[in-house]
Amino acid sequence: MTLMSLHSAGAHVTRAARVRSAPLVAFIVVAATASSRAVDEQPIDRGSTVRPATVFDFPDRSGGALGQLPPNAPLDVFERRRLWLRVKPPAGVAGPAGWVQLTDMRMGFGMAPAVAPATAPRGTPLPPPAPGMFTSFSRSVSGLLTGFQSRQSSYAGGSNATIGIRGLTGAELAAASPNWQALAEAERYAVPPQQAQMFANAGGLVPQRIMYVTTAAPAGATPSAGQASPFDKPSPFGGRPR
Amino acid sequence: MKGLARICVALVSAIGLVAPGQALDFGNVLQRLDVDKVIATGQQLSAATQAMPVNEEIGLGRELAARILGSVPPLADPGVQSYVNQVGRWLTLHTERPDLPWHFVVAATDHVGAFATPGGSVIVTAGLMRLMRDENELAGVLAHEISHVVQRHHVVAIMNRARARLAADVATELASQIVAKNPLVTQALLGAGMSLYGSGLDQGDEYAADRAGMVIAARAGYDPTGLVYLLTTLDSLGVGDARMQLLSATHPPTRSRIDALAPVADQLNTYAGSLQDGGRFAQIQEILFR
Repeated sequence: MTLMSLHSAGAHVTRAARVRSAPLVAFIVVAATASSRAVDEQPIDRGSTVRPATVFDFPDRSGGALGQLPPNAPLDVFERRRLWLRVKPPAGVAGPAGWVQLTDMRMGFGMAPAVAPATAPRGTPLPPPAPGMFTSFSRSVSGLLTGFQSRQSSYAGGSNATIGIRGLTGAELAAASPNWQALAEAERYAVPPQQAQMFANAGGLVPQRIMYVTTAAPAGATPSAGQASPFDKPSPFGGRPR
Repeated sequence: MKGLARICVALVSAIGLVAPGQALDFGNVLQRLDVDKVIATGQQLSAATQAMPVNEEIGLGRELAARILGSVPPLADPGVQSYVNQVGRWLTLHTERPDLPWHFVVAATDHVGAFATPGGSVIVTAGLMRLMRDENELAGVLAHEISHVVQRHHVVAIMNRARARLAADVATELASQIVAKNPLVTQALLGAGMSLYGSGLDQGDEYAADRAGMVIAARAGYDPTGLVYLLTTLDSLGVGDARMQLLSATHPPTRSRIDALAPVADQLNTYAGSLQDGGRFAQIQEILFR
C-alpha cells in the first residue's frame, strides 16, 4: 500500500475510525520512510576490517553482538558516532550489519593509490596575503565535491592536482638549502589570537577544560629522549579533575 | 644566524668547553678538548637544552623551517594558507605555550607528512590534507605537531644528536691536526636537525604527541577522534605507497598508533566536539583538488 492510497482510504473513514487507526498509519508512514531511506541511503565512507571484528546492535561495547566479521571484510559506512561506525557489507556480500569500532577498521578507498609524477614542477612562492583573506574567500563555490567524492578521486588517481613527491626524502631534506623568502612569506599568514577566536566562533567551536590523559606508551616503544612525558601529567594551565 | 650563534655558545658552554659569555675561539676550544669529556657530559647538555631561551629556540626553528621549505615550497594559495593558520592558531591557544610566534604552512607536495620545528613553525603537506574528511582531522594533525613544539621534543633530540655529531667531528679534526675557526657547532646543530626530519623522533615522543594532540583538539572544541580517523585512512595506504615514504620512516607503525590511541579516546569519550564548519573545509579541499 502506498502512502497516497493510505491517505485516499483515510478520506472515507469516520473521525473515530481515523483516531483509532492513527497509530497504525503513523507506524506505516514511519516504516515506509525508513524503508525509503534504507533504499536511498548512500554510504559516507568505505573501509575494511583489519582483524576479527564484532558487530553490535548499538554503538557501545555493552550492546548486543550481532555477529563477527573476519579480517579484510569490506564494509560500507553509513553513520559515524565518534569511534563507532554503522556499517553493512556492500551489495552482494554476506555478513551482519550494525555497529563496529573504528579502531578495528582501515578506512578510505584504499586500494589504488595515486602515483604522482616525480618530475612534476614544484610550487611557486606564496603571494602576500590580503586583509580578511579567509572571510572574503568565496563561499559559493558551485559543484563542490563532497569529501567522499574527493577522496575517491584521490585514491583512484583521478585527480589532476598532483603536485609531485620530490623533496621529502631524508636525503633531500638533509641537503636542502634554506628558502628564507618562502619562510618570510609564510610567516605573514600568521594570525593573532583574536582572529583565531573569531574563526572558532564561526565554526561553533566551544572550548573545553580537559586534563592530559595518563596512558602509557605501547610496549616496545622506545622511551622519550627526555624524562617521562609531562603530557602524562595534568596540564598546568588548568582543567577539571577527571 | 645571530640567534643560532648564541645557541652555539650555549651548546659549547654546556659541554664544558667555554664559560657562558666567553667569545668562541674554536682554536682554543679544540686545544683544550677532551673528547671523552664531550661524550660524558651528555647529562649537562640535556639540562642546558631544557633551559634554552625561547628566542634561541625560535631562531633554531626558523633555520630548520627555512630548510624544509627549501625542499618543499609552500602551496601558492592564500586561502588555504590563511585557513590552516586560523585552525592552528586556535589550537595553540589551548596549550601551555600560546605566546610563541606560531605559524602554519601548507607545503606543495603529494607526500603525506607534517613537521614541527622548535619555536612554533608547523608545516603540513597538501598530500596529507587531501586525505582528510573534515576540519576535525586537520585539527588532529596540527595538534599533534603543536604538541611536539610545546614539549620541545625536537630541541632535545637535536641537541642530543648534535652532541654526538660534534664529538665525532671534533675527533676527526684532532686526528687530522686541523684546527680551524669554522662553524663546527652550527653545522652540528643544523645537520642534526635536518637529519632528524629524515629519521624521526623517538617513538615515545610520537606516541606522547598523539595523546596530547587529542586532548588539545578536544580542548579547542574539536572531535578528538579526528586524528584516529585519519590514521585509519593512512593505514589503508600502507607503507608501500610512495606518498607514505617519509612518514613511514619517521613514525611508529600507523596501526600501532591507532591501537595506542584507543584507550585515550575512551578517556575522552564525553567530548564529541562542537564543530559546525559550514562547509569551509570542503571549500579548502576543493582548492587542493584543482
